[in-house]
Amino acid sequence: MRKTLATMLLGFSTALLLGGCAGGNGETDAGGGVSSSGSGTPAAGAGEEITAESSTRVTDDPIEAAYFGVYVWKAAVEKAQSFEIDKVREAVYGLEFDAPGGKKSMHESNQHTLKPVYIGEILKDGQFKIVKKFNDGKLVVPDSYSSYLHEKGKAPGPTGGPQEGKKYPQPEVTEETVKIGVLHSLSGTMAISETSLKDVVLYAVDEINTSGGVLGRKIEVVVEDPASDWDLFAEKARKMITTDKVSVIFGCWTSVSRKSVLPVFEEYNHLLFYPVQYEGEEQSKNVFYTAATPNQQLVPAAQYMIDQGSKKFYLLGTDYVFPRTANKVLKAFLKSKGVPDENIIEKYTPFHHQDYQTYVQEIKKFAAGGDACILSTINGDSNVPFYKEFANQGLTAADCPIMAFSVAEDELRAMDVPPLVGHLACWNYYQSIDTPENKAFVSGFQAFCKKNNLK
Amino acid sequence: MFAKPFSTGRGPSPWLCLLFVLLSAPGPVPAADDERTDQLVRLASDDSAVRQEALRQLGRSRDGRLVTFFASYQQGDAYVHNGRVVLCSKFQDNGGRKMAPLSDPLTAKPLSNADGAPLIVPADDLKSIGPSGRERRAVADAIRLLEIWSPALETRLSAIRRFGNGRKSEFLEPLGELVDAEVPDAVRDRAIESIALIELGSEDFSDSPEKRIAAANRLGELASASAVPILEELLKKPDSLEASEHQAFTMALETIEWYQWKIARVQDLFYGLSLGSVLILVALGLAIIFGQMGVINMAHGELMMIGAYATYEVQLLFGHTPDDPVNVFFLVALPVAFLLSAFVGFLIEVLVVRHLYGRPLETLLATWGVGLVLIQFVRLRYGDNIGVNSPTWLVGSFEPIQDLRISYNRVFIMSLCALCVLAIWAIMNRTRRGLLIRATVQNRETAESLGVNTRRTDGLTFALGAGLAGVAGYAWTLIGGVTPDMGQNHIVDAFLVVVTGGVGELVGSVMAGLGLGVINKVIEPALGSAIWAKVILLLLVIVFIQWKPAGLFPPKGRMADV
Repeated sequence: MRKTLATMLLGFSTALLLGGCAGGNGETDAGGGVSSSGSGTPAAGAGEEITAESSTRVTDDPIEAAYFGVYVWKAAVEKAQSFEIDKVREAVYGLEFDAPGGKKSMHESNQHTLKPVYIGEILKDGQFKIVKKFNDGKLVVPDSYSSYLHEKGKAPGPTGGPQEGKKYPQPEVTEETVKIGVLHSLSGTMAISETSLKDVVLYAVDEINTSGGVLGRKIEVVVEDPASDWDLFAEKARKMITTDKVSVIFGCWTSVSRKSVLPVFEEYNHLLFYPVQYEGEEQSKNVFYTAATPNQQLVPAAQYMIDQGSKKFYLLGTDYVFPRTANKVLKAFLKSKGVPDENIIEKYTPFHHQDYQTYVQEIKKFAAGGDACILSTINGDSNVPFYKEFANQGLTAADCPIMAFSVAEDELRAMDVPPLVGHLACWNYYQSIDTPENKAFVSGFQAFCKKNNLK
Repeated sequence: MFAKPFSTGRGPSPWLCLLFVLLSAPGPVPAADDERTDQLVRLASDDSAVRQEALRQLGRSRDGRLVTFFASYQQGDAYVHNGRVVLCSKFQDNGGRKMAPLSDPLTAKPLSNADGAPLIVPADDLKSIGPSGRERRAVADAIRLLEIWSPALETRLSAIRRFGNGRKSEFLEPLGELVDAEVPDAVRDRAIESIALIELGSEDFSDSPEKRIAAANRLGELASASAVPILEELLKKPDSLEASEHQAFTMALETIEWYQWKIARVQDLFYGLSLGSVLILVALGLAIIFGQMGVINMAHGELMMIGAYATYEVQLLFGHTPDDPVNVFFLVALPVAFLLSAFVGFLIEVLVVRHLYGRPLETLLATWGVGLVLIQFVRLRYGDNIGVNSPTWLVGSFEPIQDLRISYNRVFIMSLCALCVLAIWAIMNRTRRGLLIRATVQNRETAESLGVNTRRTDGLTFALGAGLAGVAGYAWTLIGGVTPDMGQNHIVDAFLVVVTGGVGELVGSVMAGLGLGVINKVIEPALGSAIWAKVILLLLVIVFIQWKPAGLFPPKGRMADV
């Protein structure tokens, strides 16, 4: 969901390049035999000499969502005692499970996940301190369609699902193995975020295979690199469903890539686990959304800022579907709370925007009277120059806090963190969650990355 | 009178403060601490009036240790145990029994029992205290009251400003104390401004026009940006104002806005120049390679990326982190970035470009391919998320005149840019190597026949341009992120600058870079959108190129025919 226009030409040629050069490097020890068509994993072929710096890998909300997605699928398969798509789907509804961040469950009837909602404050070491747990830390029920954009009872129903009398390609499952697909960009602009999700899916598969697999079958992973090109996403999804005959696909990040594969999943009545918070306004029987809906992230975050005394809101985002829709929800919510129009400013910057001098100047003026905050849906590589400029011009979290919807631990790795201390983000999971289960997950993932030399 | 220990609540400073207190004033301190402990206990009272009074006293105590305490108190980590207030941030599980390790509310130091072991009591013995919903505000105010005496200037100023913006007359008194006390000028000025803001904005003074007019006049003189929202709000309800008030408020608003307008224009100019310097730095290398050799190097952005990663490597080598700065790394990184990029550029020239001279289309595709290889190579080596931490002396900004913020990193980049331009000019016009480069560009055959090794000259020219790209990447780490594909964001801008400036003329690229930067930053605030600013800028460039196809400084004379 977060981020980007595919640089199409670039993505295309990168795919070619990788297909040509790295095709022979498919095998890794990750997950008991990764059959890799196309790009393979970065671990491949490097072999002996690379000694990585001490693991800097972190976990964050989408990483957790991608991880437990695999387990949800496994639990559903075991509950259904079958790999058939329709049976697995039915088994997912209402499923309760233990995720690294705590107990969660899938919704009884819609495609989303019940998750806790936390506000976190950025700490000096690039982690978050949880400063607020909504609903006393209990799970928040997801709304498929925001109640601020649709009247009660008038929200559209789900799309997709099986059509009567139509035959769909069935997954190929042998006595020993079952195949799953991973559809995350490993090159192009989105690689910065999506590579981690591919890594964590491989980690989950590795764990599952070590402990006996699914219904006695080892999981084989088919990794495809759609190279941040959303047409390629659809193409690769089609290939995995029809040629590789995988049982389920884990993938996508940007909303535009999800929208691009959606018709493919509906055409073949297949199953996608989508692990990134998104703008809502969509619900397909062929997708399970394991990350936040707007009422599990956007709305609580805005509510928190109001509770903290903010009266003026500067909505700053990157110019594409997620920020635009998110801001629509946010504005509707703020207005319902009595925030007047002149106290809401909505601004967009292009993708990869790097020069935030003028915006920060404007924010300074906006915040001069106090009680102002920023609700940021800036995505991708624009975040670094934005936060840097913000801090360098002498603005602090005390003057004008930034509540971000797309900055998690993984993004903070690339930033000069000390000036950002005290700014906020709203997520359903943080690496800093202090439970034995989560600690085991974090260190396990880090060890896995180190062992397989995943950067 | 007791010493006023203070800390902002992070690091070891409460300890130091305590040490300082113990050493410097052994007599009165225990008494003061006892008094403090008593006040804390009153926070646990059932009588809300008692609690409020305790909060008020604690807030005005100027005792910095309380900031940390109040933060814990807000979070619900404070408890009463045996009639004293203690902290416990985390419970332990001892065979099914919840146990609480206790720490001191003022020092946050673990408490110990009589025989020196850590004091751990059953959780059932604790009574939780914490602010009720309404009191949370008061606690936040208390924290800010403590912060106006903080030794950290930024914390202090920001706390003072928040009282001004909050417009509550109850805080006039502590602010007044600040004005009378021995404090830095910046603090006093800010306190005076905040007092005026309260006097102007507080409901309590709506019936005292003289006071409000005086406050408005003072704010006008101070050109206080914070006063604008209040004045606008007041002027929106003209019926509630007396004529003299209306006039004074309007005057003050106009004065402030005029000042802010002037500052904004200066600021725009500075932003424009700083954006321009970035553009020039990025374009300079391209101007040399494209301008002097006629080679379209699509891997230019990747050479820049290599410079940025070189800076990152040097940072790792020196072990620089924001907590433990080794700032000298940044000086060392400059030549490293230049040389590494120059070396890679040299290799590209020798292995690829050299074989394709005179075939621009194939050069374009080949260098583009090289760029993709470099991107993916770096991605496999480093992953995607790394960050260069700026040296600490390039973080932050200074304020030469009120409200004009100049950030250090921008000044540094502008200086670096000027230095690079000068260096290139000197190399081209004052050295033998520069002479040979120019000779080769003007007429390759003649130069060759006069004994110039044109092959070698080409290699060195390419390396020079590549090295400059490395310097641009090095400078970029101060502004933006370091990612494998960062070069892709800059290649178009770089070509834009070179083409607008006129191919082959360095001075053209410099003027075009500055011009585009300034125009961009002037139209951006006017349009209020970076997207439209970019659209307009591109349109302007297209129109300009139609009018002057060879750019600002077209090659003249015989050069023009080549």
